[in-house]
Amino acid sequence: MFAESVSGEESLRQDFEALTVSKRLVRSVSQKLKKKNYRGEAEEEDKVRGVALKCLTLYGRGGGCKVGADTSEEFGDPSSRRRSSANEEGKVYKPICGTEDNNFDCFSYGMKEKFWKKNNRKELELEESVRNSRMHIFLPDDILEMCLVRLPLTSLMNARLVCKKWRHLTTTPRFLRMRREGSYQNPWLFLFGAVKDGYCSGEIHALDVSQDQWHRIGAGILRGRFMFSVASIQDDVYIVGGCSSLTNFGRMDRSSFKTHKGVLVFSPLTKSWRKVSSMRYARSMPILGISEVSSDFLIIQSHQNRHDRRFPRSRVGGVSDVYEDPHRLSLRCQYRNAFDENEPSLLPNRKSYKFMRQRSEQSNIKGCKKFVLIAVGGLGCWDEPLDSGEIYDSLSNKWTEIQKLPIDFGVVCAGVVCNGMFYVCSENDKLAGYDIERGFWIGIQTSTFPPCVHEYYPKLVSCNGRLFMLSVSWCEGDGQIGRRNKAVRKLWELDLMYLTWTEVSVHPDAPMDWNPAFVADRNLVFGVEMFKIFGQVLDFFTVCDASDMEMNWNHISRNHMAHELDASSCMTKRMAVLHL
Amino acid sequence: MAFTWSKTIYMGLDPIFLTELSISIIIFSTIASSKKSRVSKIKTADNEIFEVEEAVATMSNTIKIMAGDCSGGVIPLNNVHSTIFARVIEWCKKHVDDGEDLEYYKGALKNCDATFFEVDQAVLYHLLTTANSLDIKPLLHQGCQRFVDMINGKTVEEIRQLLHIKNDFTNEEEDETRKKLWSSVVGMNSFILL
Repeated sequence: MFAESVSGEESLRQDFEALTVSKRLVRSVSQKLKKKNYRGEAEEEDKVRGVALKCLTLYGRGGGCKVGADTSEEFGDPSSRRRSSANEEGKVYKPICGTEDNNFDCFSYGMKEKFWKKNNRKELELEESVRNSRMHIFLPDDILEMCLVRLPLTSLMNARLVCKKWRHLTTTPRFLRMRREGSYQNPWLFLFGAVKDGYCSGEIHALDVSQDQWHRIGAGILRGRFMFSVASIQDDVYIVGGCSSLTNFGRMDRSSFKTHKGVLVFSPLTKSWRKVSSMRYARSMPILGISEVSSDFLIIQSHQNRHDRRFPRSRVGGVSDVYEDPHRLSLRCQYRNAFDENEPSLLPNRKSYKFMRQRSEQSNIKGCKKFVLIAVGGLGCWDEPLDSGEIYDSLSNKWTEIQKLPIDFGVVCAGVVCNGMFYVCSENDKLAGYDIERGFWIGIQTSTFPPCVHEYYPKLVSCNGRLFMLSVSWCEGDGQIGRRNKAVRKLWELDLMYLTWTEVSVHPDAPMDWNPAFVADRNLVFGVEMFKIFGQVLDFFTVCDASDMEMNWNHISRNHMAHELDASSCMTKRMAVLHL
Repeated sequence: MAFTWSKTIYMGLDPIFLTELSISIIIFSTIASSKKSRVSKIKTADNEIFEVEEAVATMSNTIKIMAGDCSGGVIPLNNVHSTIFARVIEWCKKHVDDGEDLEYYKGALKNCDATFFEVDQAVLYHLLTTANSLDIKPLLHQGCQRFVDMINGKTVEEIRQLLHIKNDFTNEEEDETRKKLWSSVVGMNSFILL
């Protein structure tokens, strides 16, 4: 086995000559083995002749080739072979040490060869600096930041636990802004309202869409609450209204319940909850619309301007349904005083609340982002459908009542904000829009409304400034037997200029869920349908890309997560999407 | 000079004209030759001189600026070692024609670079710091992506071991964060939210 390695060497003669010298040295060294400073000498000679001597001293000690163990990476086959038969070699080498046998020389050939190569000073210098630097964390902070900003959320969370420096680097506002603006974020779906074993556990299920991985978040604060609505903005999810059972705490029980006015805010990134100002009216299942507005936007102002307007506004080709109640003028005075009422007490995060108050005082500073949240309709304390609406200002943390829905609008069933207008549609196939800046409702007359199957109310979504509706309709029979009674869910787009509906795409799933949730963020529209079939609760998640011309729907997360949930989750489920 | 002068007079040619002509020929040839193969000379910290095509060398904004200042001389890089510089230049040569679009470099590692980045940590660190100091944004982006690929998906302890980072959290701090736990259904048990 030694012969093989020898034949591979090029400078055999050179090494052979050098070895004759080393043999002499070996004898002298072996004689000095008992001396305590033998190692020092060996090292000195090492620098001159490479490692040959060192290995021989080790042989002398009878421990086999230990040098190979240290440098095996550089040697490849020969040394590894040697290592494996170390014991044998030790036996061979022991008596050889000090004699003129050439066998052990072959080993040192290999060593020498590599070390001649290694003698290139430049390489050694770099290696040394490399080795030294490995001891310290020398990657400059700004480069480290550039690297960490690319991490997906789950890895980022782990990175925060590595050490204090990493935690600091990844939690600064600048880092978070860099992450947001650099489009290193991925969409996450949050499913609320899961009911397990009859209890509204308050558990939130989060889907990391890019990794197709589910996470569960405990949220005790939501325990017992159901029939609320959710809306997401920036990095937060707002949970508005809802009901709780009065008799069976925690259970999904509609027999005796109370309806909430309260609004909770959930921040998944910090897994923190805070409470904001409550609504004026208790609502369950309100229709929500959320939108960023300029910091100059003031709600009170828009209300003051309203009573100056005398002429009903109308959109192209339509008759306005704006409803003016002179009676409300007196009520408005009442509300104006109520603006100064104190905010309710908050949960642990008092600091953030104080911060919000200060910010509202400084809201004149440009560039300060704020948003509004509108809640209309829903069911009141006695399960009666409501037609009132209110708007929430994030900077002032106040709810203000807005104009009621047009009188014959019907029960509002879906709504979304698009281009500064809060569009809502009713169970009577009517569409209205609330102009957020100017603060009034406009009836919108469109071309033929997409047909709807009774009880399968349409849903509205908006992305990239476009307005879409998902409605279930009967399949137009092609004359084929059996097709006439088939229902299908279609995606329609409203042309905001000409107010015409055009069919965009067909949803691949048969509409088994009459209360699906559709949400959109940036260019993606996500949908979830949940229903019980064959004794199992199944969930189907789909996604559609609005930037794609055909807007085809794809399934995501085929590993069903709903199998452990109760069938009532189908009714209580709510979904929000965030880019994290 | 005197010799040439006398020769030209002998040949009947106007010496002044000839001198001017020869000067302009010299100038022209220098311009021509410099346009053909503009080579930048760069000296690294360990006094090694690299001759690199200008187009490749100016992928580094720092070198571009320094070349403007040095105008033809040797550009000194006082904090770059030759071995690392050699690698950097190798990368630049491959990507000199790829265009200016940074978005292209922000994504995943390119296939052609797969082996280039198969280096040990220390070399990667040197590549990153050099790309930063020489201001070669595409290489910096790709290097960062490689770093991220190294730590993505690893547990906290694995990251610490890999990068030789000492855990400087106290037990209380760690416990506090472990309490706020997103438990994963699929079993990624190290996913922890602060």
